[in-house]
Amino acid sequence: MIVTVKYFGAVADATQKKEESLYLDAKLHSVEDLRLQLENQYPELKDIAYVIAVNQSVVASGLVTINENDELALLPPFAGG
Amino acid sequence: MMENTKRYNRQIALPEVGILGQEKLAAAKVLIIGAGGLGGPVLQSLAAAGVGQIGIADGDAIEESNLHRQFLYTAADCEKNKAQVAAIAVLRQNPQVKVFAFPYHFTKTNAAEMIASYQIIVDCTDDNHSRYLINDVAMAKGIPMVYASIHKFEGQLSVFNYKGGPSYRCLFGSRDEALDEANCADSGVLGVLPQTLGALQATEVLKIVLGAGEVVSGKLLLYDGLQSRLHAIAFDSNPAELAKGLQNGEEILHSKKQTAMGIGADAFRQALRTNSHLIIDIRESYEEPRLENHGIHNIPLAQLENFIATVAQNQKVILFCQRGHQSQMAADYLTHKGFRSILHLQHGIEGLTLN
Repeated sequence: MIVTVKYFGAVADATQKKEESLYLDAKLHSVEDLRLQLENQYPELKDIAYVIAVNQSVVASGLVTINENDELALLPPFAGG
Repeated sequence: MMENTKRYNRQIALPEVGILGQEKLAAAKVLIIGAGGLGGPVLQSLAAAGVGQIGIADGDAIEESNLHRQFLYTAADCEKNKAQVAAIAVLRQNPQVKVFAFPYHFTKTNAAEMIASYQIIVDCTDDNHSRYLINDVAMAKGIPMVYASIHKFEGQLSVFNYKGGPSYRCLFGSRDEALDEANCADSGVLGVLPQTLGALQATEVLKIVLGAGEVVSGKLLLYDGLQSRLHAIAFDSNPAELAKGLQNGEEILHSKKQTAMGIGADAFRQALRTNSHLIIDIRESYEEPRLENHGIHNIPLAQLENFIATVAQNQKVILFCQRGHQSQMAADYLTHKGFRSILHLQHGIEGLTLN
């Protein structure tokens, strides 16, 4: 299935892009699966704190299921002021 | 009734404000922590809008590299304390409001005293350690925290602890121990960006005071200046995180131990230059290096009690020693004895020379 992932702040610095469409194996469909796939693809993500939102809501657990055409976002806390 | 409202006519004309709203603003007390890129526009906007009492806290001195985004300051202000310069600048803009400058960093030690008379805290700091501290004490006091922070061309904003709503910990979890997010010095920032986020923060403050519109609570607003996009992401309260923040905040606010505030090297140098404080070196005469300055009194610890008996309790005093430990203890002792304005040099003379 295809999902859209948006990146913010230091996460976008690590991925070098603000947004992309990702193909997910049909068997791998939890938020945690996606996180592992992304950290494999972008190892720098392992050193960044961030939370994940699915369809504009932060998920409390990595067990939340992802569906076709979902929009995900990786949100790190910013620090500057 | 307010005496002179001409200055505010254009906002009083709004049904959401009116004379009643303007009176609410005049009665409001807002504390801004951080007088940098975000704090400047927040302070200017709130003062211009007629917010009656504003506190502004920052222990840093103005640097030339601040000027591209901190428009309150001029090149001539460099090396002066940010909070003090900012307070003077906005009082020129609107002499009708009260502005109190706290030339210190916001710490566990001074948090209770600093927030005591305020109803809203605006987080304009540039490190996440301070954000956890602000979040927790705001929870314990039961007042909202208007948060924003920036990264390069992006900013994020939310209002935490608004009417029992979710907190900073609910959104980002509790990671106090491992904080290494980049600040503006590390990653760079476009000069206008904090103006945008600061204006959004000020808008939230005004809405909270006026009871108008919908406050950004339970939502994180993300602004991307490069792509001209605004996103809103919802998040829920997390009972465990709320409990953790509340407990920590209460410990900080209700700590019975009276401790004196520590100041950094910049604030110390400024006090030396301006003769604003009675400055006491509590080291023994053989301890090196000595600091040559007419303003400094050399009173070793053993003689401090006799000397201080001759000093009024409202005298502003700064103590310093070699590394900041003895001066902390002596300052705590004097504070406990009733002196109201005792400071000490945080890392002592060694912190000063290393800088």
